[in-house]
Amino acid sequence: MKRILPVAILFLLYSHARAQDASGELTPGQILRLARSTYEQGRLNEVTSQLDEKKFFNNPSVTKAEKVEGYKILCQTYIYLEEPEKADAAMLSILETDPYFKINPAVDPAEFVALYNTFRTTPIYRIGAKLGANASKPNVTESTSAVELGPGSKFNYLIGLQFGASFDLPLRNTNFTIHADALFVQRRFESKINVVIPDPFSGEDLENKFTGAEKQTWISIPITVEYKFWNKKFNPYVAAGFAVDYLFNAQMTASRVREGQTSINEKTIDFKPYRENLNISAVLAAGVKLPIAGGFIVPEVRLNYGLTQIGSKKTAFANQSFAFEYGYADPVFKLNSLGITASYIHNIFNPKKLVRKK
Amino acid sequence: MRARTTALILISLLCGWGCSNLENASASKRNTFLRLYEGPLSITATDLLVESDGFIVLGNMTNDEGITTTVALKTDLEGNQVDDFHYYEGGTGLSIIPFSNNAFTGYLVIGDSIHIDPNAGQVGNIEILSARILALNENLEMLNSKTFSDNSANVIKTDISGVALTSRGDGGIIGLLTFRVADATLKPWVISLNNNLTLDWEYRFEALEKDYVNGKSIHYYNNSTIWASSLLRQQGSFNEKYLAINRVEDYLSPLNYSLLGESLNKTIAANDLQPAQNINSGFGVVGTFSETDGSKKNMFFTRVRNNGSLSAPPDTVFIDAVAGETTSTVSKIDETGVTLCNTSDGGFILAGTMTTSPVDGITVGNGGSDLFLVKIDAFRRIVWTKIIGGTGNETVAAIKETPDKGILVCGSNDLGNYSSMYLLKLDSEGNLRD
Repeated sequence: MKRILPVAILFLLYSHARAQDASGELTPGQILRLARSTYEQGRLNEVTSQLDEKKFFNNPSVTKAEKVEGYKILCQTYIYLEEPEKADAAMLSILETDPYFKINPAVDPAEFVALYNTFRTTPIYRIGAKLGANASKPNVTESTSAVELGPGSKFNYLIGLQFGASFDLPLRNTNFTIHADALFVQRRFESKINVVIPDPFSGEDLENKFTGAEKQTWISIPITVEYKFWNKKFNPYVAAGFAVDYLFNAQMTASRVREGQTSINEKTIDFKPYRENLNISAVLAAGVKLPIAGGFIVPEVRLNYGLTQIGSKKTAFANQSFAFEYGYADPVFKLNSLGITASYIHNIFNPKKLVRKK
Repeated sequence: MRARTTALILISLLCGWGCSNLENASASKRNTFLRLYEGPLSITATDLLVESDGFIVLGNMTNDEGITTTVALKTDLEGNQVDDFHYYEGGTGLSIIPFSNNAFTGYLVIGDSIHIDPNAGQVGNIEILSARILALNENLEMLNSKTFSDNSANVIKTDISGVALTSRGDGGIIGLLTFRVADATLKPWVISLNNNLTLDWEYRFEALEKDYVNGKSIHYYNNSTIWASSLLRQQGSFNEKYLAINRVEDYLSPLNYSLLGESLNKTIAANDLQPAQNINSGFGVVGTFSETDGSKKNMFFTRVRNNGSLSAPPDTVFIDAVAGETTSTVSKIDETGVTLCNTSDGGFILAGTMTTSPVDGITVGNGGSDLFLVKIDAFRRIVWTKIIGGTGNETVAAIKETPDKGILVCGSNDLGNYSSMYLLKLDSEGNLRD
């Protein structure tokens, strides 16, 4: 025993020395454990000096979780030391370090929970990028034609691409979010015009067929209000609003097959002069927001229902050459578009103490 | 509940997308339009009739063997076909007028029928032309026909062609035909038929020595028949033509005429003569003025008094599609004058064609030949000109002013050796824009 005791003391002293860093200071983990222990023992005034800004919070080796716990201990300390401003500062530091920090009312002290609830903890906005495809088709309000329309004359949808930036503005304490996009949208559709020519001499019908594929490029600014109708993890929502589009470019590629005669070769014509540059649509959408990392992945289905005319009576025969060659005249139409997109939107936080209005 | 709500919203999205298509949208009400009428073979338009409830377009369809069938088509006031094409085999149709007598109410069409006999003893008899008049009912169904052919004992049969018809005002009609005996000159033949289509009088101008190339219309005013012709003086490959305004009084044989350009050594081809809105102002004549080799073509317009005499000095306008009103010797681009119509303001609209060509480095025209329209006011001033067409060859057959003061043009659009008829309705300013 007499021989063991000095060895034991020496060992303990050695261990203590080994536990310190090279300069002889405590590691962040040790500081945190010490502070936690000091707080639990009620020696609150010592906690504030242990959790020093320089020794702990500014130490690059301190992890985010350790910082959060450190600030939490500090915050609770200041609450009990009845120093509300410093408690506020500590709480703000928690939220700035980890915007996704959540209280646990079952475990956390009531005062801490109450202080947390006086802060803005939700994102102020979200910003991201969107990519998808759409199928567009004219909604013909008045039919105009240069030939006698035969069976099968109609517009068909074609697929176009769209991409751009997205922006969310969540409305605090509600299930509503204002959503806006700035999109580069390609809308495509096809027109088929068939003419049936009875041949009284052979008794058979001949058919002349026109095919025109129009490609339009728009800059679109849709603004919608989203409503999260179910409080689930995947955040399902529906949305309604309107979109304002500016036509950047429009081209039609046309050809005409004439049965028994030479066909009219394919030609691409600039159609922008015959289109309205501004389009307004009503927007309806439905989607989900799947939380991931610092934001959401948002798959969405969206309908743009055209409210203003794209083609007008005035320009129906504006390209006379086109009318004579291909037998095509523009009907009066609006444009509808059904889109499927996926976007990633990133939460942007700006935590702050909420000021209660008197 | 929430799942059902979502499903309902998605279904609404799908149903709401694309409500109305071409086949079920209402037709746009328009004051102007362009309509193309395509047949199983090439069809060339020849005449147009304006009625209170629509239009009738007349044309000729020719097959690869050169056999021609007359075609007629009825449309509503917006150019939509009322029914299918009507075909009348055996010849051409050049002019159509409304007609009514005790037997029927409908239309008369004049043209040619061609009899081909490859085994004919005389070369001149392999193809023999006869003029024919078709009687059609209101639905354009053929009732009967009347042929004017050489039934004489002549060794070489006379070719007879129908040119134009007009109403006599008392229910009868006047017809303009041409005839050529063997290799002799082309001469006019005027017939007058009673309301029961029996011959009232006729005169064949046998004594004329030059080829009479008749304009496309004939008119009856103050017991006289008036039409425009070009008298042809051919020297090798050069065609010198000068204008003749012909007037024949009822039952009288002498042909009175006024001449224009007889000594100019040019080609003045008169293609149509039409009355002014007020017949006291006389008639307008349109045609093509060019060098005798066919170069430097300009459209020309001149006024004729209601007795068929030309103004002295002649009141003639020469029109170039680039230069506007020009002199007879200046032509920046080739035009032809084909037909004209009077307008309610006392003026005329002239219709012809122009050939797409580069002028001072800029291409004028849309390709091939295009429709060329000129508005002339009551004081013979050019108000506006229009060039309308596509990359094919557009030609004009007839032009009319409609009751709403629009302009209706009928012609042919030849694209890739296939011709279709077109009907073009413009506003009073010549625009295709509602």
